[in-house]
Amino acid sequence: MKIRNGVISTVVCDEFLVIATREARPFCSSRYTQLNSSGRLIWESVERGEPIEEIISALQKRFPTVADKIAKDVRTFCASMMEKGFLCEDTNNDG
Amino acid sequence: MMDSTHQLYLTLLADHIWGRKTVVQPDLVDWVRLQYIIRIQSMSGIAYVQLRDALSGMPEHALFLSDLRNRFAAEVFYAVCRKEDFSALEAVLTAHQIAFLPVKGSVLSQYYPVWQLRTMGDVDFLIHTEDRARVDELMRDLGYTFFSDTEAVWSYDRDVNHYEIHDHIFYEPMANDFDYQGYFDGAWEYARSLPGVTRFEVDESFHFLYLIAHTAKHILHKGSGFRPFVDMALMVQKVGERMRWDWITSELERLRLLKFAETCSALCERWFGIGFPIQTGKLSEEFFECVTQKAFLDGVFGFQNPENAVASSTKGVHTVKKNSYYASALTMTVRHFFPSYQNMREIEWYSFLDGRPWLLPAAWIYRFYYCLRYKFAHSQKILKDPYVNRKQIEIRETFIDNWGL
Repeated sequence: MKIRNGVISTVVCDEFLVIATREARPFCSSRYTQLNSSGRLIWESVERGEPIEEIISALQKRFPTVADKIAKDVRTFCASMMEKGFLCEDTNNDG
Repeated sequence: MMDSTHQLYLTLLADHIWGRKTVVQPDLVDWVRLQYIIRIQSMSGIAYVQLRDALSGMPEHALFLSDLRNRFAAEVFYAVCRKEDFSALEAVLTAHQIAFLPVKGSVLSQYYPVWQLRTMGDVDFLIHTEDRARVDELMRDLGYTFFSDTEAVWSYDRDVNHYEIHDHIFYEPMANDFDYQGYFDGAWEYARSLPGVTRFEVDESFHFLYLIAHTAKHILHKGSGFRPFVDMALMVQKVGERMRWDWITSELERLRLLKFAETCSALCERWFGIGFPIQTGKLSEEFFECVTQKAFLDGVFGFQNPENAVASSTKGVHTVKKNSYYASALTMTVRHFFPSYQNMREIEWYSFLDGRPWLLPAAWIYRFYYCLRYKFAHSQKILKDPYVNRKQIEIRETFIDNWGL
């Protein structure tokens, strides 16, 4: 899983936005989306190239009281962003 | 008197300029009207960041805030796309050694506390006349759609990005005989080259003169909302110290815009607490109220205000300005039938006149029959307007006089 080419993120006045620029637009169902703080945390981990399992375990360590909910939430978020086209399969990564 | 809704709108603009938090007294505000004002003034992003904290704990304003948040996000989206596209275009223009000089919104956005929140419909830049054909070919090759052609501006669209490419930055006459086009054609003399690119950077003092003249053009035409005044205030705040105010003052006088600039300064002072370092005229309370109310109704360029229906006739009467109203109106009627060579050749389909002034009578006859056949109702309205709407036109003319125009 990776961020689609042409999708960029930006922080403006503490608001986190993911934007599909012209290159990515044909593959995305919307032009932009705003993420809350949890979404931002996951997105920034994906930006750093972290695989989904690593993101889940890092978040579980950080928020142990909701550890069992985190795996489902992260997978749901990533599936939703894949469906919207902002994320895509990383074909160069065997893992 | 300004009501609490108008007051809150101006306060949030001033607070944004000064980096202050906006304090809201929700019970005194007409939120539906505020939402409309923010929308027609194209200030949703700024309104969102200023009101977000104050309204976030109030469920009764959740819809209002959510609407602003969506518009804020849209503004950021357009700004980011615009910047990315313009950077790519800059690389292509540089590779082809084509000099270009951005003006207006894309330059003014740099002075905003959050550049993404300076809204604009398009990116304007100036090129040399001899590069027009080359730029046109490049733009089309890059996939931009060419969609209009006037004497001095070519417009291009691609995806969500719009460009206006000019070889003159000022091309409409104002209500006097000063040659504004000729003056602002001097823009290149006030442009600094930048290392590694063919983009030039306009001198701030010259750009300020242009901003004043451009705003005057809108005031003379239909009107203007608050955005150009926010531009002026932020420009003075951010780069005012390095602007040459003595030169600006003398040039404004030459441009016959000093009184107008003094009025703008006094308004910026009253609205946002930032005047210009020039001698500022005293505003009468009545004029201040009148300008403020009109700016609220006008939207960004005065298109929203139905009271602007007589704008064109007022501009005509104001331009010819004779001793009596009817003498002005009559002169204007004669000019409607027999426009000058200068004005006729500016119109695309009479461009055949360019360099052939002896063809003018033939063009008048053709135009007369064309208007009679295809634009009868419109032409009739234009001709009758100064006679049937005298009172409204006179009120508006006094208003323009008070602006110093």
